Amino acid sequence: MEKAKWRVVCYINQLFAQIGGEEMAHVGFGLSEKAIGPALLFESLLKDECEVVGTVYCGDNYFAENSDKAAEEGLALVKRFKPDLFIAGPAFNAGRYGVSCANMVSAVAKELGIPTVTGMYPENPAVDMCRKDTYIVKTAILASDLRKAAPKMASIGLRLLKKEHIGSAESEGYIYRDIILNEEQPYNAAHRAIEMVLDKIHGRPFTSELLPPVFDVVEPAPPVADISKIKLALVSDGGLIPEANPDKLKPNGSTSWGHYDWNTLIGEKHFVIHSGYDGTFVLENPYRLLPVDVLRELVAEKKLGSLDPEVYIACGNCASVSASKRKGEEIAARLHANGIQAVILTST
Amino acid sequence: MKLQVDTIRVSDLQFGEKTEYRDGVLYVSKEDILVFASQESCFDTLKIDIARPGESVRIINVVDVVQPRCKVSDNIDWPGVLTEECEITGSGITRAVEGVGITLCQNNTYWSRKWGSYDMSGECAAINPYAKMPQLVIEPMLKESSDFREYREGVRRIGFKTSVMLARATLVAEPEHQEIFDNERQYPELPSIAYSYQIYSKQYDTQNYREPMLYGNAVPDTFPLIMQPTEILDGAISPCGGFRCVTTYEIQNHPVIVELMRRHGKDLNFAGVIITVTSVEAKHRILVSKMAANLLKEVFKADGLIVTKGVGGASTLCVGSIASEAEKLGIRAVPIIQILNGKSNLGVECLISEPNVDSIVCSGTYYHNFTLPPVETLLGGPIDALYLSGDDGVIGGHTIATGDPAIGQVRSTYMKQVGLLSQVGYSYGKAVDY
Repeated sequence: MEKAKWRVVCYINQLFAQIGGEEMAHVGFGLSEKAIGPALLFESLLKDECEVVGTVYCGDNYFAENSDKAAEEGLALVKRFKPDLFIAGPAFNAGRYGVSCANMVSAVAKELGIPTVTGMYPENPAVDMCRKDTYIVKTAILASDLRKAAPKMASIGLRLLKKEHIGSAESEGYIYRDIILNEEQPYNAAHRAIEMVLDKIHGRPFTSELLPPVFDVVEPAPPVADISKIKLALVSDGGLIPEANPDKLKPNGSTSWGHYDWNTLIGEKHFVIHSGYDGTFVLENPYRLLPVDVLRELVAEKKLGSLDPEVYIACGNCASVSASKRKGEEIAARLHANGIQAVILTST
Repeated sequence: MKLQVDTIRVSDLQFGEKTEYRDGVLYVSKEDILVFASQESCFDTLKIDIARPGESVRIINVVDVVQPRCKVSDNIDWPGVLTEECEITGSGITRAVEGVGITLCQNNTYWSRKWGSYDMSGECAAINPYAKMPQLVIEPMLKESSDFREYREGVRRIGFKTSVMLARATLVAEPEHQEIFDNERQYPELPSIAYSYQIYSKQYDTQNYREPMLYGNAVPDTFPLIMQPTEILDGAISPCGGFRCVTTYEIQNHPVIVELMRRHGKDLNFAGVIITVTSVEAKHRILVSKMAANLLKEVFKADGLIVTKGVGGASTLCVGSIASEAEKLGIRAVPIIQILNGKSNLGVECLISEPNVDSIVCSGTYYHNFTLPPVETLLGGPIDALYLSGDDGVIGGHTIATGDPAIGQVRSTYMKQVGLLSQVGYSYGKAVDY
């Protein structure tokens, strides 16, 4: 018996659905029970194993102005077709179209749990909204790139259906999804390094396998004029936590943090979860990590206004930049809510 | 200094009545190894097995892999480790045995915060050099009263004594290959490359135990040392304790030193080696990197530099700093580093932040994960041992064990697979964005 074809649903905007141009960007959702616009191309690329059972479309402005509701509305239409694969766009460098594609692929992936693919120009602002949830094939700025981008999108979509391996971002032409994996090379790292240094000395072109990142510049806050009036808190990435580990910190790659009353923390069972340093010295004397003792003396001498009885603890080992940023924002929000005016950050 | 390495490749490793080399097969007598154990106060006995390529075998609690080697010339084997007497290694003749390894396990999982494992078959074995040769797996069973420091050093001694014994057994046969490592004559007309080798970081020590890595001595906060490349190939440096993504086998066959030696006088000049350790204070790091760069320029007259690191983030900052200082003095520097994350992208995960370090080799992320199937045989620990993940182990004096039974299906990171990620550049992986 011939195997049933996989059901594909495409999403496009009003322009590609040939409803009209910018003047029709306000129109709401519509659907067609066949492939229309770019979906025709996907239908022909996938015809052996898939069938485009429907095309959902929407005006760019309608989506942009009602984005939460619109994604829900669009999802309901997509669901009706019981798709196995969802293809949105490609949106090229169109900002609003990008946003609607991003919302649609994220909603479909999350709610229906089926593979999704879209396409965008790497600088489309919608890229960061969905690159981790889907495969965004890199396109050029203009729609004339459709014939180049669509086969890549179709190929990734088909292999996702077949649960086949999808190669690296560079080899497949999609935008990285924040997954780093290792690939075995023809030469070991020592040989690659020797070749690279010789290329550099001889002025020959070479490709560095990694480059220093360009970090955000953080303006330091102005100094505290008079510490005798302020409430101070201690924040550390040293991983000193209660034995029960209520906030589920991890020895490395931790994405959570906790705040603990100092007296309770050291009065009860505690340990150092950070696996990037030998915690022996901290366990011997926890004040080495968080100088609560000295700060309390300063409070008693009225040199320091007051000290937050809680300490704020994260575990900095192998933490990703994005997770650290989020943890920092959460800790800062809590400090703010507690009326803290200054912090001392201790590290290990 | 000139070192001659005579190599013989054995076709198989088998247990025998006596330790001998016959018809291409290396036979090992368990009794001969048990004699070494009887000299160690902290062992009850040894568990000794042979694991073969393709077998459904998982070896856990691995702390080291060693190649059988011995001195043929009148020298001490492993001075400072097997003897109190010391001499500088790296000259004369050494016998090296290819095609077989010695895997050392510590059977108390909780004595180390960093340990390794590997399978003899499956996805990881396909890319693991140690899974491609028969391994003599030695697991010393500790006495209740044993001290972990004595135990670690005892495990290393037994491994090295076995290495020497096996290599000596092959001396009845002529070597198949002789190679001379010698960079005494310098070729100033060729691009001159030096190597900066970071051997140790105290950040992963257990209970302040300083690993005695250099001729059996600890090197916690040393400043840059100049050493002969042949010294390193010939037993001057060896790990002792937890697995730190480099084995003695990789140091004996140090890929940076071996390749620079082989190309010396051809398309480059191998200027020499400096040894550093990871600084845990910025002040120390700044001085170490400036001293290293200065030695490279003034003593070695180097045009180029390869820098390798130990495990971890602090170690990366140190090699980045050395590379940056070298570049400031006009020395082209290539550090070999790793990514400490799996869920991110290469654009933000390079721990070197000096913009003048723009030629970097990335030998992988530590956190590429594998799901490995159940195995028939578990070596290196008790049958009910847990397969500790990166979230487990003795951490800050606190035992965390959430791992699955090691004999069943387990999840492993790339860095836990001994042989997959080598800090000294022996491995073939590279980190790629997905």
